[in-house]
Amino acid sequence: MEESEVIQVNYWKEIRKEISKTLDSLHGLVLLIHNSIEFSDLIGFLNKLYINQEKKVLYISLINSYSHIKQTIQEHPLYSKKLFVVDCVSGFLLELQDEIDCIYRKPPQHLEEMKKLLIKSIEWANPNIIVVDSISQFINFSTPTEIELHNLYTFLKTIREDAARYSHDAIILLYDDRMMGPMKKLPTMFTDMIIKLEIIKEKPEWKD
Amino acid sequence: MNTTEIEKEIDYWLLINNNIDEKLKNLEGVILVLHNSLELSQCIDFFNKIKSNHFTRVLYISLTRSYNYMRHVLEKKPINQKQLFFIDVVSGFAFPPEENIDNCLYHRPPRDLKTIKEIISFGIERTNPDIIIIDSLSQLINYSKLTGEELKEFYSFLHDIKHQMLNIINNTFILMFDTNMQSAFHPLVYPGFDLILKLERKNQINHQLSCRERYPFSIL
Repeated sequence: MEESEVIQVNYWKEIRKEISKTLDSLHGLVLLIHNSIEFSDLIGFLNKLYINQEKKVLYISLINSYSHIKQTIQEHPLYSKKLFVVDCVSGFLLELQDEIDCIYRKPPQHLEEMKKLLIKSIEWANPNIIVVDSISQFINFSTPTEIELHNLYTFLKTIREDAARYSHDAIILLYDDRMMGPMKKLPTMFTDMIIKLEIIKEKPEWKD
Repeated sequence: MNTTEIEKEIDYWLLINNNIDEKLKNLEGVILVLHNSLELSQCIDFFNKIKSNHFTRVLYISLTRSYNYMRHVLEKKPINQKQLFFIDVVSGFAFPPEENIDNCLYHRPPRDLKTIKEIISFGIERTNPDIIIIDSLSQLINYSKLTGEELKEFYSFLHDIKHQMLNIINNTFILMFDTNMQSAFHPLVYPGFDLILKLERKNQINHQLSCRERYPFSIL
């Protein structure tokens, strides 16, 4: 017999009207949950962060290659921010030469490796904002085991402490809940803010 | 506008689990509450947080649950610091108005927003509430595919609620909407509200095995 039990009721507030204010004061460890946004949507989100402030953004990519990123930025420019990329997609297949704004690395296999990569990348780029796209690769958060949850919470706790120590503006961790299934229990204790981006692709059909 | 054109809208939601109690303590205005089929008992947890620091009169217009069912749930899980008045439009066809009881009025189900407005006015006149809850309007309109005319009508409905029905005492109007009943509540509707909240229930499946399933070879 299968019985369903409510383990958490989450309260979300719609913040479209106050998005600039919220994103201008973004600080600490931020979990950004989304329903399969594209890289161009992520640029839209980054453009809303700290508007008109010169910031360095470190983007650790486990899903988009540097060439795709460059091409998208040509069509959707990133304003007032300089982007540094750690490409863990192309580095898996080819031996590529590091560039001024991009380094190629093998994809981390677990969260401990992710943390090491994060530390080395921060030393390289010295960024104000760090984006990890995404943590969905490491565990299936919809049905996590106790060990996986423990590893996740340890990971979050460590990088949150690091963020405070090195006074980065924000570390943003992306999680795709369409691809991996929704997180059963949100890690509210180990993050400073949890934001959800929902993309609605259809407009209503107007009769008139 | 070309109707075949697909455009993107992005909705931004902020998790407010940590300060929801404070937020709901002083809730005012016209509020949309989206939820994924919350049980009434879970809705009660939410209602209990609203203006929790003082006694309030609540008018609950139910388009989805009968008064009998709600009374049964409330006996097990009461609402604190609130006097509840119901308008039951689910059983409204079966009960004649003269059978109204102390805290419940029966009404025929509304066919459009104009009729629901009449029901609200009727309820305000009879109960003089501080808070009005409508659960829910999903039966009346398909909010994911609104026509221009329907959108205009809906804005006009919200405008009338805000400017004709709300006042200093009766200052909170909550519109519940079950997102599992309709695919989406289109963001074009959002500007009409003072606050939009989403209550997201997270479930976990318990695999409770019967004795026979657990011990298939034992003699029971």
